[in-house]
Amino acid sequence: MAINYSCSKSKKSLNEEAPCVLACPIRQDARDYVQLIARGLFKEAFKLVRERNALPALCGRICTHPCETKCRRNSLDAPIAIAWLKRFLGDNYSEEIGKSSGEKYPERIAIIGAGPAGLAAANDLALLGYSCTIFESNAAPGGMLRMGVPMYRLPRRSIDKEVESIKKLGVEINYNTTLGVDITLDSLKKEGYVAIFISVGLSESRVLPIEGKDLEGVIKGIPFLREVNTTGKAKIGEKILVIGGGAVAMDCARTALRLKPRKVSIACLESRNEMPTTDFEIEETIHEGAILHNAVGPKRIIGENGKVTGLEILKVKSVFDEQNRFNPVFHEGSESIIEADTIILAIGQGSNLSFLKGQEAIQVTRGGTIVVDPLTFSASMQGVYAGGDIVLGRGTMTEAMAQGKKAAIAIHNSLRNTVLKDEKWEERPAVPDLVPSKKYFIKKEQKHDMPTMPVGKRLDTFDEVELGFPLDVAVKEAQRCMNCGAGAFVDDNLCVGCITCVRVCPYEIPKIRKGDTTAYIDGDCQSCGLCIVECPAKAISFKTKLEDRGVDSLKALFQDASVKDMKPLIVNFYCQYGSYSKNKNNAVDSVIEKHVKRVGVLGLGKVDPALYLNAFEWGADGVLITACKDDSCHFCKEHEWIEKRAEYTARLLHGLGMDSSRFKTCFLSFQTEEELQGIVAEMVKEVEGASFYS
Amino acid sequence: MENNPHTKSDSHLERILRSGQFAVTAELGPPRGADRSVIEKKAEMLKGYGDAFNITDCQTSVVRMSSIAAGRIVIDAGIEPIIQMTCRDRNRIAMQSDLLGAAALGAKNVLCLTGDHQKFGDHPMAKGVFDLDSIQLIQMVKVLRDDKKFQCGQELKDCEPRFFIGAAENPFADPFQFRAIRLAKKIAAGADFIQTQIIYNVEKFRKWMKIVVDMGLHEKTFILAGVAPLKSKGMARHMKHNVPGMDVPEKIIDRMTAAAEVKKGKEEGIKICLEVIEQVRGMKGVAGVHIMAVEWEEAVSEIVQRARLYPRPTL
Amino acid sequence: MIVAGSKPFQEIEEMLSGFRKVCVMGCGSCVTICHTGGEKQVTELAAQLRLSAKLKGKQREVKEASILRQCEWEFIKDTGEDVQDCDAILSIACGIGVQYLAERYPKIRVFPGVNTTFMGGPTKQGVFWERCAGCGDCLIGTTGGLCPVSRCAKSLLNGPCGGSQNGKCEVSQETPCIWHKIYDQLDTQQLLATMEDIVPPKDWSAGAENHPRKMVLDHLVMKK
Repeated sequence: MAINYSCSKSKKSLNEEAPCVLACPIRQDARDYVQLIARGLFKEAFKLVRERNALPALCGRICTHPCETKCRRNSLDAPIAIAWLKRFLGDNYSEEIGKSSGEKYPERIAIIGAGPAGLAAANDLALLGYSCTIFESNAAPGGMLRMGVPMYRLPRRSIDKEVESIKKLGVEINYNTTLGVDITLDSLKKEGYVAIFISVGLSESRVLPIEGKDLEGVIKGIPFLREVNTTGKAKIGEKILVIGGGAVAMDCARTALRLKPRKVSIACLESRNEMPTTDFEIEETIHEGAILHNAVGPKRIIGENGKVTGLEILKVKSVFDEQNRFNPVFHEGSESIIEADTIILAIGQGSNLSFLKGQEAIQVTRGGTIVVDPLTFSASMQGVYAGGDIVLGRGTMTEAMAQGKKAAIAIHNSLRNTVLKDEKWEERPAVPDLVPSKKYFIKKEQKHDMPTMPVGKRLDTFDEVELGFPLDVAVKEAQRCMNCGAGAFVDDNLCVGCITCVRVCPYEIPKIRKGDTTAYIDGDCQSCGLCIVECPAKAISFKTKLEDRGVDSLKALFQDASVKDMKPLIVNFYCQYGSYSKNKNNAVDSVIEKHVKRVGVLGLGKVDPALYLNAFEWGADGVLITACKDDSCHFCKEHEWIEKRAEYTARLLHGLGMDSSRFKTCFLSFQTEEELQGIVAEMVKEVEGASFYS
Repeated sequence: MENNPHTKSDSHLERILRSGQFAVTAELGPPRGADRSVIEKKAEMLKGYGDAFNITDCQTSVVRMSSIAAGRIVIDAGIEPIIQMTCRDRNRIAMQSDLLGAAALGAKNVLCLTGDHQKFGDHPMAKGVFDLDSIQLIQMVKVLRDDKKFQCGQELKDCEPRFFIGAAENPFADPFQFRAIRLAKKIAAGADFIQTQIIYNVEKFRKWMKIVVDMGLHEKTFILAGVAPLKSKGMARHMKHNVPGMDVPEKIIDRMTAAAEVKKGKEEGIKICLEVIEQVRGMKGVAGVHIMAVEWEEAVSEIVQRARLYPRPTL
Repeated sequence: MIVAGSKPFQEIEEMLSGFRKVCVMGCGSCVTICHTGGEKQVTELAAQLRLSAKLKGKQREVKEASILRQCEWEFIKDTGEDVQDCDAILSIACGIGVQYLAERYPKIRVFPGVNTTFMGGPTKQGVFWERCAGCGDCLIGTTGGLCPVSRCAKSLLNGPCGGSQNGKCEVSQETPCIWHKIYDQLDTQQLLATMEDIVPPKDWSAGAENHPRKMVLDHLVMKK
């Protein structure tokens, strides 16, 4: 093509990123793996996740999923259950990923702590070609994931599975090895480690500097959780009170409930809406029987005979001051008492920097965190790096992982004197919120619930409460995704400004804006693909290569040698919104098994009629299109187009002299196997009876 | 139109009209073959029942014998033809040439028409010429006659064709308000007489005539009201639905349908025709009737007689 | 734009029968916009040609190519690679493009894949209407901005014929009587009186009846 109408606006649209991806500390390709699940490409989806994320099944459970907070579906109905979909992948798939380069570097790298930051760093450094050894003070990997997070939220086999996958990349882990006790920075250097990445996390619980803090029965949250997590029990009384409103407080309360005391209460400063953990966690905690006291602050712990009997509390006026700083103010004279014989403090974590004794060159903050250069992750000592909670002070699992990932590249760049960049970290504009007028066109579909263990059974065990999505729910949930920022894209060099896209879009999205000569499709595109097929200049395509308008699937199908023995061979193009490709029917002699190869697409509106011709060209004896009925269509108005194109294709085939029985289109309410079987059986009979010519 | 002894042509029709007598014209369709006897028979049948007879020009775009040639045969048979000429099949060169030829063969009247679209005829694949439209054709005939000039501006030196110039108007076509203006344009272009589209909707025709009279157009031209006997209910329906520009009211269809049941379609058709003649005859500005008994020339004599328009005056 | 309609496939098949290596050549201009000669159509037609050959057990190689405008020498000059070794070119540009290609490749048979039909535009997606007859003497200024030459079945200049009823043309119920529209338009613009004037016969000498026409812009013509 010879001319080039430059249009900077369109270029900008290419750069827009899905808000779910931008919200993620590790920039996980949320949209893309969700789309792959929607298409039933689970292995591919898993690989995509795993390439960026060393701990998919763990993230799918523990992550606070800011992606969902930013999901553009929030303004429509509810966000996509992105985290639960990742968990679905992490639990059910385990495809290995290849190293990003074939390089193998001689430098050895030591990583202190097998928590999220350490594991992420080790994973990425191994992928870059380094040999890494993790030194872990506990007897098993996971850091706070294993010591802090209760088992009913995170089964230990999941940690083991994912750590195993990291180890397969060549990462070694030395357990029961504590920095400052068993090893020192100097000893590591002497052993030949040219870089040391400290990611020891925050292993200590903060204490409450109030009267009664030393009474018997006042225990710290982290040691409490660690004890239960490692031994399955802990010494507590009958009336438990947890102080704190975050995730750890909820963990403490729910763990305590499983030890069967008479009563578990929680006291926190924040009101219900201000609590720094997810709604889901709070609800589950209450659901399991904990009593939540919001907006109360501890005045003193009271006791008798050196033992705790309760907590005197004050009502909270406000938690944050005008500058939004943490500065609680109480109602004077509002004292009351919550009775308790055990008080668990879950008001935050702190570091244990004892390993730095004698290493004064390493600069630390007053808050007990290690100071690093924010770009190089280098601490103030040559060859020493740090990341994760020990640097952040307080962070989420994914924030810690992000630190690990960034540090890995920084260490690589430092060792190799290069400027390798992970382009995913680049600043990019987010796809803006849905234009209100578009909401009318988009089908509302509620978020799927997570199946959980019945409450009555939960407290008898530490088994996982959330059971995970079954395959069909995962697919349906993923199919709610609007594929933000990955929709149709107009190539300005090819667009002839014919306005076809503007006219055919059921969502009224493409526009030729004033002053432009070509069409522009913004981030509200729903990826139905109608415009791509109808564009006479073939100027429109999907922004992502992950999309398949049936071409790749059809080509792959004919590469399978078994098609040659299928006589007659019927290629079935079907809408995956109406039916995803389930595992094969058990009945091997079924007519579908014998005669049908299926090409699934997310909406048949994406399929070019020429592809139906290609199917015949490449060897199909019949082509069957099974589409959804109008009322069940995921996209609006697609039905009409599928029908029109089917008629058009039938005319073309007729023009070639082909028997009409070889090309069929059916609109089905539910594309069940039984229904399909009947249609296929009839078609096979007709095709067998027909000559290629009418 | 007032009696004006100063005629523009040697047309018998013109003299009848200028004498103030109620004129009668009728249609004579040439055959789809070269047999002149067909025309001679029709002429014999029609002779004496009208003042002049329209020889159609491939009407409804179906190939028939040339209207000019058929016109000459009619003259030989002793009656006066009105040569119909459409713009569909010829450009201005051919039409001027044909006008000269027609005049040389003795034609005195010419009716200028745009012509039905070729799509309706037996040669829908033919190229429609439409170099001129009917108004421009009228003007061309008048310029040849009165200014003795060809369309190119060159002078016609020898013997100019002196035609009594006719035009058609359809009061039932749209936009209705424009129909009288269009008539005025045709008169301004040079139409000496007008034959209207077939009238079944008398009320609408009356409305149109009122506008025409109010504009004084009836004093500038002779208006002959078009009538046609319906042969059957089928024909009535066909006219209503398939013939462009026709207005056949539902009650006419009903009457024809009722008559068809007692096998009296033709009688009823003639009766309706007579009723229409009776009504239009009384209207101010109507100078005569034009009977279009398509392929049913036999009916003309009966209609003319029963309408008390027989015998035709001689001058 | 120039509007062209796809030729029936049978006709294309007959034209191309016997040619073993064919290039389908699209054009990125008018025919792309009217969905009969663009890149999409090239793909579709090529697929049809291949499939048809396969069904008949014939050998046929089909190349696919498209250029910005087949009616520009500079653009078609560079098409060599696409048509090298081809026995025939099926151009799905308008008649202009077909001829440019034929001139460019005198030894290769060039066939038209579309019927070039009229100058017009879409009134809605997939519906194209004629709007201009290229008469060479535009009079739209006097007819309310509506062209009676291209849009009246009889190209009348003095108002509607006797076949105009209910705003429709006598030729087809789906065709509006353009003179009715002109009448309404002039009425709106209070210019109805102009319809009383007799429009003289049109000078058609600049029109399509006087082929071939030529336009020279002296100020742009270069000596060499």
